[in-house]
Formats: sequence, structure tokens, C-alpha cells
Amino acid sequence: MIKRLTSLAQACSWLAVVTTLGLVLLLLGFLGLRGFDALNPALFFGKTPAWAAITARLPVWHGIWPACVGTVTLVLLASLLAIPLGLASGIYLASYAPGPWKRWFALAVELLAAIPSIVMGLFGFALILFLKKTLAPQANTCLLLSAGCLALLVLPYLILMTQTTLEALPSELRLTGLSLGFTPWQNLVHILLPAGGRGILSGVILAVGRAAEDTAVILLTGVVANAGLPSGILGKYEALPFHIFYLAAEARSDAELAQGFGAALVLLLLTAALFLGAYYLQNTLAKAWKQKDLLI
Amino acid sequence: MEAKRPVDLEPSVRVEHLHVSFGGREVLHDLSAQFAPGEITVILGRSGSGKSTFLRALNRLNECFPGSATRGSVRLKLQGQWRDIYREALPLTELRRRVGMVMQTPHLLPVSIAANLALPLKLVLGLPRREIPARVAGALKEAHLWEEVADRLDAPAHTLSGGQQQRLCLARVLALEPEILLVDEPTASLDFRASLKVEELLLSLKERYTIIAVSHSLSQARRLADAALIFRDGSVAERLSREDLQAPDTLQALLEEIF
Amino acid sequence: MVISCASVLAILGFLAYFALPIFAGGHLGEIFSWEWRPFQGQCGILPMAVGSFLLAVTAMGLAYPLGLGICGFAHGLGPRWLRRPLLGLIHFLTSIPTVIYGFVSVIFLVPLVRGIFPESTGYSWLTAALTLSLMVLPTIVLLIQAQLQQVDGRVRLASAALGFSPAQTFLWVLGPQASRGLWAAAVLGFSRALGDTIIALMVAGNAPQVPHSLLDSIRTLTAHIALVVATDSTSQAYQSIFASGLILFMVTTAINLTLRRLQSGTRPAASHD
Repeated sequence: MIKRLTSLAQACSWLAVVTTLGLVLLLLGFLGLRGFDALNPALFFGKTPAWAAITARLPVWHGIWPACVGTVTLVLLASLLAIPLGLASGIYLASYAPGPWKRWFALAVELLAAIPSIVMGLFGFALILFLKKTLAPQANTCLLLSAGCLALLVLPYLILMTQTTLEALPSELRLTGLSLGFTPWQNLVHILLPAGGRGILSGVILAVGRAAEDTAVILLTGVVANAGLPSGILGKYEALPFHIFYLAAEARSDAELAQGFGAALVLLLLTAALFLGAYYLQNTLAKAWKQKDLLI
Repeated sequence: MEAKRPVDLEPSVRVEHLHVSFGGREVLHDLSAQFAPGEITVILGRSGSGKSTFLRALNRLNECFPGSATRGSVRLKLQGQWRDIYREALPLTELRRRVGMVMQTPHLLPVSIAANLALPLKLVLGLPRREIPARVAGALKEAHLWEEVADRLDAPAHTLSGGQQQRLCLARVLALEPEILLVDEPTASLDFRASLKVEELLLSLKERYTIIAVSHSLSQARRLADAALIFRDGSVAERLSREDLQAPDTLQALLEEIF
Repeated sequence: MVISCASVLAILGFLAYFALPIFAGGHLGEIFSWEWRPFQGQCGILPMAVGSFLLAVTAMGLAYPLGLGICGFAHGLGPRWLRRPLLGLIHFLTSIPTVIYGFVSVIFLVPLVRGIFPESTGYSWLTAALTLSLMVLPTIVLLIQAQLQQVDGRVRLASAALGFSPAQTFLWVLGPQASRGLWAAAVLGFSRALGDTIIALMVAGNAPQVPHSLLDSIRTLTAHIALVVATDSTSQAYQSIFASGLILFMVTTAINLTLRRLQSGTRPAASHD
């Protein structure tokens, strides 16, 4: 009886794994095959010469170059906003400092983490409506707004990642510095942060990946299908995920569909590269830190 | 309870009515004790009797644990002056430098042997770069480690053996020129031979420091102690002199008390 | 650091502030109704609420057993050497952008569904549930995995010493021990599925109706927000999206608070020597 149950469970688990693997292979294979054909300079720049497009001398019409630039700008801007805030908050939460606010703050971070991205986008949208009615009638959805909302979206990941990394450090490491007479700040900068660096850095990278792939937030906060290169942080812009979304619904020709596949593959490669980068860091920086003298 | 012993030395640590609790649970209860310089006092007691907490009360390291609360007075004689560490505004970092601590397992920083000593010197004492090597060498010699590591100061510290690591920790503390040494079961993670070496080192250091050591080995206490405190349920149950420790009948009583 | 705290708290407050006026406006009855005809002034969002719930439940219903199976595989039911690559792959899957799941589904799954069921357009509850389940699968696996890992450390040696095989350990020790965590993973996965916008928007068809079969088109709250913002509508329609946002916000918040309470009961107290 027991034996029967065990083998039944084993069979089910095999089935689950094989099904999943099959689906994933199907997904990636489909995308890879169709996308690979589309992967060429024309995908990025259309009929515009590549160099002229990269130096922004000529506009690109039938390529995903503006979307790529838009996504990169967006992600950089969002990181700029989120990373300092996220690290500082995470450090605060990981410290033993018994502040009366700490528990409430931890709760707020958890709640923020649970907010669906569309709600975050709606928040940005509401903010603009609010500004339009009150302070700045000309306010409109734009790159900066999207970046701000994306920053909010990834902020809790950054905070939690920093916090858990620092808390996972052996407590003796924390005590060693303090028992030698380090100030808490010295302890943080010279011991805890270097020790937790890899974890925090990989958290940052994952957050960047999350910001790069999100579509729902930017959908409500200023992305458009045809804006060309972003004109400034208060202008509209294009982005890769939105471009893919748009093509899935609106593609009218095989060429456009092929571009959709190409764009999807590019985005996938981007997020995969970020993921692998984070993974690599987690595995190697630990060793590097042990061998080299990074502290002094 | 407290057996009087001839006070041949002026004490340098006076603890009076010390209470320490974590999250409302009292770990140390109305504890009073004195410790003299030039002696090794060994603290014995069952696990959970508050030995480590007591040591950490002397350099205020308990405050690094959540929910800790301390009452009572702890006065230390530092640089010829009595300081009440829980009342006077002696900077925490200054206190922890003057009251050096070595923990149960070697707590190395994951860097090279030399950097383990150099980093605190640079950060805590703010020594200029050129003075550091001499100081490092001096401390390593004091900890009887110099001959063993002189040729590989830049090797990662974790390549040392357990006993060497523990002596490195001691050297790191000594480099900061403390006056009081707190040693929390320094040989708990070491084999017998390495333990003896650490004990030898502690004996050689006792002339210059006030040493308070936690141990759970009675034989170690007999080898090291000038005096011993027996802890029970967060306070001092008994104080024994060196002679008491050697006497066979107290020994029997102690064995039953502790183990 | 004080600034960062303050800003996080401010954001949360701001979100709540924007959603509140709906309840002051007195249009509650209109918004919580079953009809969505914005041009006749009927802006009910209940069909979307039902749609969100149904889609999330079905997607979880598909993904959870799979996730459990995969975790079982990794924890004793399958060969040990496959464990690391399998979990690595699952980890990698979390990095696939949602929009790509949606894209492939539009190109591949929608025509497939249409081919099998000619009466459907292919943009349906079924398609969305299938796609969404694949999307939340890695999250679920990682959540369950984290729970199992915690228990595993405690019981592995003990049960091995009793002569249990790895498979038996999983079925009779690990699983039951982690049951609370398994529930938590299911609820968190549900909350993740509920929050998804893009897949629902791309493949669920977006008809504001209560579906009668798996092949009907449905619209979720999340997709509703995106659609209304995109198609500049009446002011009442705008109010309905804030109500939708608030519902989503409250549901995810409630889920989180409940889980937090559950977990705080199991956390061991810190001990001191």
C-alpha cells in the first residue's frame, strides 16, 4: 500500500516536471526559432543606416531601436531613484536599532511589495490627474513619471533583498567589529556591506530586470507606440515590452509579426543576461571576497 | 555565600546589583562581583546560567541584541580612573576597545591575517598607515603567533588552524591595547593541544591585564584560575580561591554543582 | 534612512488617499453593479471582479499541482542529480518577461484554442488561465521550495536515520510538516495571479461579462484599468478604475496581513545564553 502510494506520487511528480519542461521548451523554442530569423540590423534600425540611428542623426521608423533606448533610459532612471532609497531602507531594517517606527515601516514595505503593478501605474496616472487639476495644468504622463512608478515597484524588492542579505550574515560577523570598538557605521561600511555585497548586488540586478520587463506600469504612465527616441524626461517614449504588447494586438503584416518576435527575443535576452549576471555574482563574489583584501 | 579571600590587589572591575534581561526575561539577577588586575578569574556554571551575558555586560555588547535591558552598576578602572560604564558618557567604541573580548569560536574577518589586525587599528585607533605594520607585529608576538605566521601575513586568515585563529583573535584585541580582557570559552572549539597553547598564552598575559574568562571545563579552571566564580541562575552562587579549587572535596561538590 | 522610511509610508498613504474619494462621491451603488455601459452611465465593475477571481483561481488550480509536483521531484521523489538543474531552470523562468508569455500565447495558443473549439474566438478564459498558470508557476515553485527547505534541514537526518527513503520522507514527513507553508505559498501565488495585467489584457478577450463557460471571454479588474485609461472615457468610468485599483490593493493587502499574522505565530523566540 505504502509502496503503491509512493510510486504513484513519484509518477505524478515526473509528470509535473515533464509537462513543465515541455511547455517551457515549447515557449522558448517557438520564440527562439521565430525570433532568431528576425534578429538582424533591420530589426533594430529599419531602413535607417545603423550609425546614423545610433548617433540619433536620423530618426528610425521601422525598427525597435527607439524602444530599446527608451527601455534602457527608463530603467536607468528608475534605478537612480530606487537604488539609494532601497539600500538605505534595507540597511535600516536590518539594523538592530530599536526604533518605534521600524515595525510600521517593515509592514509598509511588505504592503508595498504586494501592490500589483497596474495599481502602481494607476497611482502615477492619478498623480498626473491631480497635478493637472491643481499645481500644473500642463502636466502629462511622461518618462519621469514611469521611472518614478517603476522605482516604487522595485523598491520593496531592493529593500527586502538588502535586509535579508544583511540579516543572513552570521551574527558573529556583526559582533566582531562591534566588540573591537568599531562604530556601527564603520561596522556597516567595512564589514557588513562587503560581506553582503554579492547578495545586495544581485538583488539590484534582479530589480533592474523587473523594471525592464514590466509593462503594466508604463502602459498607464506615458509609453506610446510611436515616439521615436525619448525627447527628455518629461516627454513620451517607446519601450520594448510595450512594443511587443502593441505588436501582439496590432500587427497587420508578417513583417510586423516578425518584428514582434525579434523584439520579444531581444527583451528575453536582456532579462536573461541580467538574471545570469546576478546568478554569476552570487556564486563568484563570495569567493573573491574571501581571497582578496577588499576591506582595506 | 561569598567566601572572603585576602584581597592582595585593588580590584579594577566592580559589578554591583547587575540585572540584565532580554525581552522581559531576566538572564542576570542582582549580580555583584569584583575582579582584580594581574589575575585570571574563571567563571564556571551550567549553560544558561548567564556567563556569556555577564561578559557582554562588561563591554555593553548585550545592547547589540534585540530587547536587552540592563540595570545596576558596572564600574571599571580604566587608565587609573573609575568609570561607571552605564552612567558615564564613555563612548561605546572607546569602552569596547579598552575592554577587549575574545569569543567562543574564532571570529575572524574574512580577510588576510595582517588585515584582521590592521583594520581595527586603522578604524578604531585611526593609526596612520605607516605605524600599522609594527603594531601588528607587536601584537602577533605578544600572542605567541609571530613565528608561525610571519612569512604569510597576507594569506587568508581562515587558512590558519583553529588554535592559531583563536590566538589571532587575541592578538587582534591586544593590538588595540586593552586593559581588561574578556575571554568567552576560548578553547571550546579547540583540541587539547591547541587549548593548552591558548591557556599558556593567557597565563603569560595575566601580569598586564585583568582577565575574566568563561569556561566549562573544571580542569581548565584549575590550570588557569587565581579565583573562580560559580554562576547559578544568573547570579554568583559561590566564589572560590585558587586553593579552594585544588582541594579535592570542593572539587567533588563543584562537579555535582556544575555538571 | 529616515527619509526612505518616510517616503515609503508617504507612498502608501498617497495611494489610499487617491482611492478614497470614490466612497465619498455616493456612486458606490453604480460602481458595484453588474452592468458596464459607460455611455449610458452604467459603470459596474462586478463582472470584472468576478473575472479576476475566476481567472486567478483557475490559473492557480492548474499551476499549484504542477508546482507541488516539481517541488516533490526536487525533494526526494525524483533523482537527486536532477534537482539543481531543475531548480536553476525554474529560477531562470522568473526572469522571463510577462509580456513574452502573452505574446507567445497570442500567436500560438489563441489560434490553437480557436482551432479546437471553432465556436470560440480563442481569446478566452481558458487561454488566459493556461498562460497565466505557466507565468505564476515559477513563483509558486520557489515559494513552496523555500518552505520545504526550512523544514528539510530539521527533519532530513532524523528521518534518514529511521530508514525512510527520500520519497517517503517527502510524503510522510516533509509535506505534512510544511503544510502551513504550502498554504501560504498557494495564497501568495493567488495574489500574484490576481495582480497580473498583461496576460489577461492580451488573451482573455476583455468582454465585461460574467463568463458561462471556459471558452467565454472575460475581463479582469487589472485589464479593466488599462483599458479604460487607454480609451479616454467618461469621468464615471475613471471612478470605476480607481475603485478597481482600490479593490486590488485591499485584497492583496488583506492577504499579506493575514499571512503575516500566521507567520508571526510560528517564529521561534530568540534565546540567550
